[in-house]
Amino acid sequence: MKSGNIGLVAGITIKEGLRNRAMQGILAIMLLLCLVYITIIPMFAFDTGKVVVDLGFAFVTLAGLAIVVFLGIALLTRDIHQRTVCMILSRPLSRTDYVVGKYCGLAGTVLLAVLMIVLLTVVTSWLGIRLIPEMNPPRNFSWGVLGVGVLFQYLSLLMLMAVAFFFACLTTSEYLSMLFTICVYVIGNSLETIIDVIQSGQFVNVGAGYLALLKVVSWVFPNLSAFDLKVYIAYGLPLPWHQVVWTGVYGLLYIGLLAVATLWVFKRKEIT
Amino acid sequence: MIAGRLLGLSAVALLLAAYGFSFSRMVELRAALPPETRRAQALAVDPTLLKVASGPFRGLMADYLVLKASVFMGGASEVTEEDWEAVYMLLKQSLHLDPLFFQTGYYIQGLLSWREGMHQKAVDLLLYHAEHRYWDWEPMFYVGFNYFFYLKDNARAAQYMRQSAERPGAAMIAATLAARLSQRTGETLAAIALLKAMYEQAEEGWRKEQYAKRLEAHLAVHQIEQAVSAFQNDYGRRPDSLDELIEAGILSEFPRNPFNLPFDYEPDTGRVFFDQVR
Repeated sequence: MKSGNIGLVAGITIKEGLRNRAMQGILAIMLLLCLVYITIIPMFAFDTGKVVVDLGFAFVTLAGLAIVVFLGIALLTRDIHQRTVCMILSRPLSRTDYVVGKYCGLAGTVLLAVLMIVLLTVVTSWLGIRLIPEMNPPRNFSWGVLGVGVLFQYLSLLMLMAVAFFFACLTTSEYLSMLFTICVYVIGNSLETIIDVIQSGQFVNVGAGYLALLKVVSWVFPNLSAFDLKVYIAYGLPLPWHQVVWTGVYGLLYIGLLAVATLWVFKRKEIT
Repeated sequence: MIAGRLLGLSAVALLLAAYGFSFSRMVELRAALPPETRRAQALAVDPTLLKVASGPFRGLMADYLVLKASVFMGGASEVTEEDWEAVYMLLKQSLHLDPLFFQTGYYIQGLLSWREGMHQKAVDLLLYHAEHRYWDWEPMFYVGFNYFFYLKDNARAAQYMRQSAERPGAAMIAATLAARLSQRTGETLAAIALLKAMYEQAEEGWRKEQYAKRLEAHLAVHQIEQAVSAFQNDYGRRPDSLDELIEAGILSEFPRNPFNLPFDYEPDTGRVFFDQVR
């Protein structure tokens, strides 16, 4: 694995991503959605800062999801299906360099998109607070907590991107990869709640075996809901740093493990 | 060529005119729809299921549901029993998706709590809200107020008012109502303890002064209530009036009432009050 090669592939991927019309379209829609704040916020009388956080993070999630699913998978699978990858790999570049470079490049693209949306949201909110009397910043607002919240949102997108890369290398179909990735996204966001509901025994009664199976499944699928820190930003609650650090470590290790699996699959893939 | 373009332009103009006409007719006819067709609608889904389904957009879904309820109530000319149930469901779902959102709590208090048949439901939702929004005195104040005003349960009202008063930044009314209700339910010592704590925590001079005045009034009430108990022990009955306490020599004189009012007395219960408010 050569860092120079990885940087080269990553740089090309970022350029490719930014030039892609899908990316430009996503950012244009997000710009319009940010203006929606101005019309929605005055409908609320209390906790308007919380509504801004909900809307802002929803935009980040939607844009990130769209980039990962539509752009990320397409960039990788098209290279494989259109045999462009053969041309790339015929140069002194290992398969590992190629996959890691693509991943880093797309991570850079997502980072740029996330930062742009966050900047748009912050600017729109700042303007809103100045212009709309009903609009207030969230309680105990802290830039640090907002930064950590955005970082964790980004980390969850990186985890999903690792999943998308794994499926893109494993399956032969772009659409199958998208479908599997979206399924993982849904499961990752709801599995923890489902387990909590079952454990509380309030609504459903299932056997201990089923619950144990779900718990095993939760080790395999990424727990994306753990990366959702909106409530701490929106209500100014003290951030549980211990939990935050361990969640971050979990996320990075998950990406690492999935990268190893992806590389293992890609190295054995027959590309002709 | 020109004729073709003219024909095309005419067709577009005709389409635009037809679209404008159909749109205005639709708006006009929809505005004339009878009120029974404008009903509040809520998915009959348990909030937990919504929680699972909304995933990372849980907060946004809570915002939407409370907005839906408030828009309906703001625009409805006639609200049926089914509408009230739907509004209750919308607010309940919103609250379970985001138990900290004050807008939902405020609407529950403003819309549901006064509605006959919904007092207890509103209180249950507000209590859930108040427990989660631990830094805010208002939701717990609503719970206490509803127990006092709608459900006529002074003991619980006093309990929740005390909890509200103990939260940071609580308005004085929470403490004064809590003290009054505690005393009303025979817990004069709890009222005194609360007012003492409030007095010690208060920073502004005017606030300290107000708490001190209330505290003095409750201490005086407690002193007279103890005298009533002593009279009952001695004579096997409660006094018919407070003057009997002086006549029997249990009290040499009445303590000072800082509100400059005569103490009020209920011979049936033995309770003493520093004013006429109940």
